[in-house]
Amino acid sequence: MNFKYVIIGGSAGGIGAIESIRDIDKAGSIAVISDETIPQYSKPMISEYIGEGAKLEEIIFRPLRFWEEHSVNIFSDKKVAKVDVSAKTVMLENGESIGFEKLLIATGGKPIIPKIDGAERKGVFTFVNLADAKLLLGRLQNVKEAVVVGGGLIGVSLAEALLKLRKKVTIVELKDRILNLILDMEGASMVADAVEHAGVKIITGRSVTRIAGRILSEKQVGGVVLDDGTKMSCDIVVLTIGVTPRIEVIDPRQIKVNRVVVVDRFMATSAQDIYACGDVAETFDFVNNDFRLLPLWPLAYVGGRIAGSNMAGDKVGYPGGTQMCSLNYFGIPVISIGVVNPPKESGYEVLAKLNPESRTYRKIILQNDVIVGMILVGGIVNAGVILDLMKNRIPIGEFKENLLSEEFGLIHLAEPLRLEMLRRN
Amino acid sequence: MYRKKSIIIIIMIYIVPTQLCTRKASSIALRIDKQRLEIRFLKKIYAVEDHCIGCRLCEVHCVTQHSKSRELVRAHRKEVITPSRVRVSEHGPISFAVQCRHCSEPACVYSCLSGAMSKDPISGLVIHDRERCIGCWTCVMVCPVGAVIPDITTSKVVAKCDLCADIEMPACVQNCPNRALLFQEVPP
Ligand SMILES: Cc1cc2nc3c(=O)[nH]c(=O)nc-3n(C[C@H](O)[C@H](O)[C@H](O)COP(=O)(O)OP(=O)(O)OC[C@H]3O[C@@H](n4cnc5c(N)ncnc54)[C@H](O)[C@@H]3O)c2cc1C
Repeated sequence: MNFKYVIIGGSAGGIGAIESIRDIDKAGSIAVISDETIPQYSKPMISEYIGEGAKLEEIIFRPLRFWEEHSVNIFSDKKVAKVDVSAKTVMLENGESIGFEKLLIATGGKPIIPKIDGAERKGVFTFVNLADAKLLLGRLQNVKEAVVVGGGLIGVSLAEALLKLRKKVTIVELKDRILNLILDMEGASMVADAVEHAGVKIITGRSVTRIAGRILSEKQVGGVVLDDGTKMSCDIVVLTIGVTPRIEVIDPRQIKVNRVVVVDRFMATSAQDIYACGDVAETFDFVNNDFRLLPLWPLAYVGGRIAGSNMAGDKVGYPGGTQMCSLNYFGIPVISIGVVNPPKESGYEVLAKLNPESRTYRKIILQNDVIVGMILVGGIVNAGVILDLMKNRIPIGEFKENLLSEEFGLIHLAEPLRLEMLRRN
Repeated sequence: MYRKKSIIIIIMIYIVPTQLCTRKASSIALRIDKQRLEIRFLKKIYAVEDHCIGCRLCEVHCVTQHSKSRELVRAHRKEVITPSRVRVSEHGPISFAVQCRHCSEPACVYSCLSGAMSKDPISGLVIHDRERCIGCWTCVMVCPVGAVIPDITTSKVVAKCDLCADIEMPACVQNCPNRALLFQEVPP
């Protein structure tokens, strides 16, 4: 079997690529291989699947007829074992091999499993895909208490979902605050207040050193022990400390890997005709001006679009992304973009305004008069206007004094820029 | 020569059926006949700063148009309303109204986590499906003109301009007393 385009992974990155390939090449054959049954669901929505009781149809990112509509041969429930760069084929685990002219590796990430004594016990889960969510949901009925290890984006979203099911939830976070990669102390404590107020217990600065068994059935989770010796009982433990690229289909002698698949601005890997995007690959970071792992849905999708255009013969460079998260957990809107915890004494200027009464916080980080980061808690309107100023490295000049106003928007920009934006097409 | 032609024909055959089926899905398209639709969707709303007096009638009429009754007084006094999808900004002597630009490379569509935002291939409209929206505010984070508005009343769904697709002229444009909003094919 041979196809013009072969894509491994049919999630954000894979779908982005298909949509842009079909904008250019309506007829070239496309095959998508995924080890999931319905690959096109929204990963961030697996929390809704748990907490809101959402059905599978409600968490799909593209309709079931998507593959057919885009004339894609979908190989679901099939796992790729190896990519053979010189033969230009991918080998499936079942022994089949599929030839390609252009290949996209969009295999995403897998959960990082910390080395914890007792992690093999029944009742220890990860939470990165629908299969994880199904396993967890299947187990939840008799669960009263849950411990979530890791207070990042995924941990907090899962805590909210579990709370909706009236479980007693504790988040154990190693760092001094939850969401430490995307928030500073002020922002994180505002979110933590809301999380705790809702009923979730947060323990920071501690790690789980042991998962203990239940008294009468040692194989089942019965509790956890923290590094300070504290013991807590629980029925399940969910490990959400992060994801790491799924690079096992790649031979690093053939495709350059630096923990993450190395790509250029065209999403091309070091091997000819092979591209990569999303959580498995690097993304160009326009703030830091370098390539790094930015495991975020929008960046995976856009990376896929860029890869697809180039695979179909256009030459399109990725302007880049940066760390960018928007959360609405526990009723508190938060947006975090770029450098949010600038190192001290390093030429950054920080503008910040905290309003405890209205529970709003606004922090803008500048470097050489250009915005390089921001945190918005509470008031998030016009966040995208600021992101656009960041992307285009617009010097802040006159509107600096307005940046901390919740009303800040296009109106504060100088006339030519303002008009250009207003008439944007 | 002959070859080229046949390629074009094949491509056209391919395009036509997919367009037909997207059209079927688009409720807007069903309501308006094809030719008018095509002309209408080449048009965009343009704000004319110099004519805007900041009266906010565009906001009032946007809310009315998107209310249950579509009656001005009734909507504002008796109904649960969604926020206006057009927003007047004011700063010193300057004011203007901003709404969705229906961008050709829509950041909101490219960033949506749930698939609720889409760009209609025929009309070019950027469409928001309330049912599928989870209120993650990712679109708010990326809209370069600040036109996606978090809807606090439902705390879950965003509100954005739909160009009032089922009436002749968008309500904000029609009701602007000063022609500070224009609905036309080219920028003023
Ligand atoms: C609970 C949760 C919440 C999240 N919340 C947010 C959020 O709020 N905002 C945000 O921006 N991001 C969020 N993310 C991250 C986001 O989901 C990822 O960045 C995104 O899914 C990456 O897309 P991708 O296409 O690169 O990879 P993935 O979505 O991981 O898809 C890769 C696909 O490839 C398949 N695959 C892998 N290897 C093989 C193989 N060898 N053979 C066949 N198939 C294979 C996988 O099974 C999978 O289906 C969240 C993630 C989770 C889990």
